[in-house]
Amino acid sequence: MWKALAGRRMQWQLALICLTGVLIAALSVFLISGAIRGAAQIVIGDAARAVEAAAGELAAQGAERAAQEADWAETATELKDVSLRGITLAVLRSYPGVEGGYWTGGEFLGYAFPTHLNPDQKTDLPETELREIQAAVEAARAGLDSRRVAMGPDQAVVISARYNRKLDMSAWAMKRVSGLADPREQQRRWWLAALVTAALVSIVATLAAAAGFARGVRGITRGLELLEHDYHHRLPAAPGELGEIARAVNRMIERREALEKELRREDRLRTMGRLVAAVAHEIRNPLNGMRLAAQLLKKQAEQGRIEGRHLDSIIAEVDRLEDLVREFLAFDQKRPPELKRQAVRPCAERAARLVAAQAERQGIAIEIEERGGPVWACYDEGRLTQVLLNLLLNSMESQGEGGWVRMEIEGGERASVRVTDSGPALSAGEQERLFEMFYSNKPGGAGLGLAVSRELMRQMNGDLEYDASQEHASFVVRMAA
Amino acid sequence: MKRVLACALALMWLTPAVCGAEKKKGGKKKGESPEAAMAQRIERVRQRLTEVSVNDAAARNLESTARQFLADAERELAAGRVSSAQGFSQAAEALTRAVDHIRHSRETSPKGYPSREAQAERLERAYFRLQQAEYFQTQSKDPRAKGLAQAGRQFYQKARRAYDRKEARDADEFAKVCEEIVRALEYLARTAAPAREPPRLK
Repeated sequence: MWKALAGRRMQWQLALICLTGVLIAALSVFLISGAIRGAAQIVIGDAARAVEAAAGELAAQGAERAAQEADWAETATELKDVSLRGITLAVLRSYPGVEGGYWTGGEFLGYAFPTHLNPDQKTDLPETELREIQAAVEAARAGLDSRRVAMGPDQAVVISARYNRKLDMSAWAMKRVSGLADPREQQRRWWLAALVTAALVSIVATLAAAAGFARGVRGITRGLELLEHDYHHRLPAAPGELGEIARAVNRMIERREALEKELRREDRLRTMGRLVAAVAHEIRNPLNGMRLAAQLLKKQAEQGRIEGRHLDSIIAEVDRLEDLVREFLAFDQKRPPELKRQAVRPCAERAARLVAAQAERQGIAIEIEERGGPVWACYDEGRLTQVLLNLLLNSMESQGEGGWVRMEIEGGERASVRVTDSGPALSAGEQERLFEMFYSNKPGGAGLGLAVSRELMRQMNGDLEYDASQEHASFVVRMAA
Repeated sequence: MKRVLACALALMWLTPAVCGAEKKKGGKKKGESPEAAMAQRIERVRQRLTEVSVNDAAARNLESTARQFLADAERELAAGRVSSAQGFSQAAEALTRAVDHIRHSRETSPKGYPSREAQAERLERAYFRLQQAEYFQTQSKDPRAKGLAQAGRQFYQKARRAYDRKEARDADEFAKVCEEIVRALEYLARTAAPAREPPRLK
């Protein structure tokens, strides 16, 4: 499981980034909301403390004033109102934004708002909050918590009251806390919304990027797997940077293909060069025979008699040369492979014939064995000849003087030609790099022969491999039967 | 025996304290009409004003204003406005007490005055009352109110300076004078308070 996770490292990293983004966004929302709520609570808390203190002081001063007048209880309401308003004005002067007064005998008395912008004109009770003030006064009278916080859309109202049982009089104070819905608050909400939106967009973008990346990587991986078997395959186009990678890989494959094509052409020329050397020897013999026959014919013509056998000899030598030329011309690589089901042995024999003169010079015996009757396979005659010729020439070059090269043709599901020579088997290091381009264990070798031969076989749906199980150096050419 | 004696002494001390306070405030006797009670009160204040008279410019001003208030009270009473007459008489009574405190400040006989902390508290109370003076002055619409408010501030200043000089008697008495002047203003403002009317339908 850990391996599977490690294999998707990039996706996990993206998922982690995404998760971190979500957490940061959530934390920001939580902290900012908390800060806003906290700030509002602090402001309301301060207001509550102010109105509680103001109500307490109003109650104390009211009680003191009442105590100074023996017939306070019998004093007319309007007279009490004047005295109490004087107290309210003096007390609330120290409490900015706080208004208040008294409640006695079922009436509001002594209302004042000294820190109002226009305190002389602000003499009427706040009608909107009157119900809340009455509720606070009643709560204080009943001995309950009188503090009231009424939250409005843009402001909060905090009220507190104190009751004096002896005088049956309550003092109350009230403060409006505005600025809870100030423009900055709205701005903050917008920022919060923008933050959440940005977080969501980043999450979606990250997920989309992760999915796209995973899809692209899968496509490239699959394409590279296919490339191992099919060199004509191209990586699929992908968007973004992965697309760049795919295009770069495709360009590299195309360059490699072109290079290999060029190498094959060079190898063909090289092989032809080697062939020409072999063919030159083959040509020399018929030409010598023809020269000898022609000289004899000249003598006989001077003597006035011509023997037909010398002409037959010339014709036979010409036929032999024609065969040689035809086989040489069959060595054509430019055209695409023409796969034809045909017997394998003639091709092996032709290859052997082409190197027979060189083999003879080196004292190497070339043997051809066909097991289990005639073996047929699908192949291009010219290309198989080139492959076998390569193998034969390699064997002969590696052996020097003397020895043998055996070609064993075998049928079955896949036809094969095993080319074994009398030389020792290749070392493990040599086997490993045998089919690499430009690798050669011979001095002056181009290192192309085996790589190109394998490629030629693969073009014919066949293969070329080294058989390490044999005592001697042994290559197996396989073809579709 | 000691307990009985203590109870008797306590009773003797409490009875005049309670009844005296009532009398001092001009409490109404049973069966007496409000007008008669008010007339008696005016007379009592006038008499007391004569008793406390002192040779001091500020005191003389206050005494003069108090006498004017008493005259206003009599006029209002004659017009049948008992409530208004009561306000003027109460204002005059407050000013009488103020003059009495000025007189006390000029006494040379030693007398026990409150501690410095209590003096500070008294000054704070006077200051608090002084803050109401402006409202009462505006509310009363009486031309004499301005002079009284000014006098109140002057006496507070005197009390404050006396406090700084650690003159306990002056600090205490002048603070009381200030308080009584503001009280007089308060009663004056009350006389201007509109009579209570039944509510109108909105």
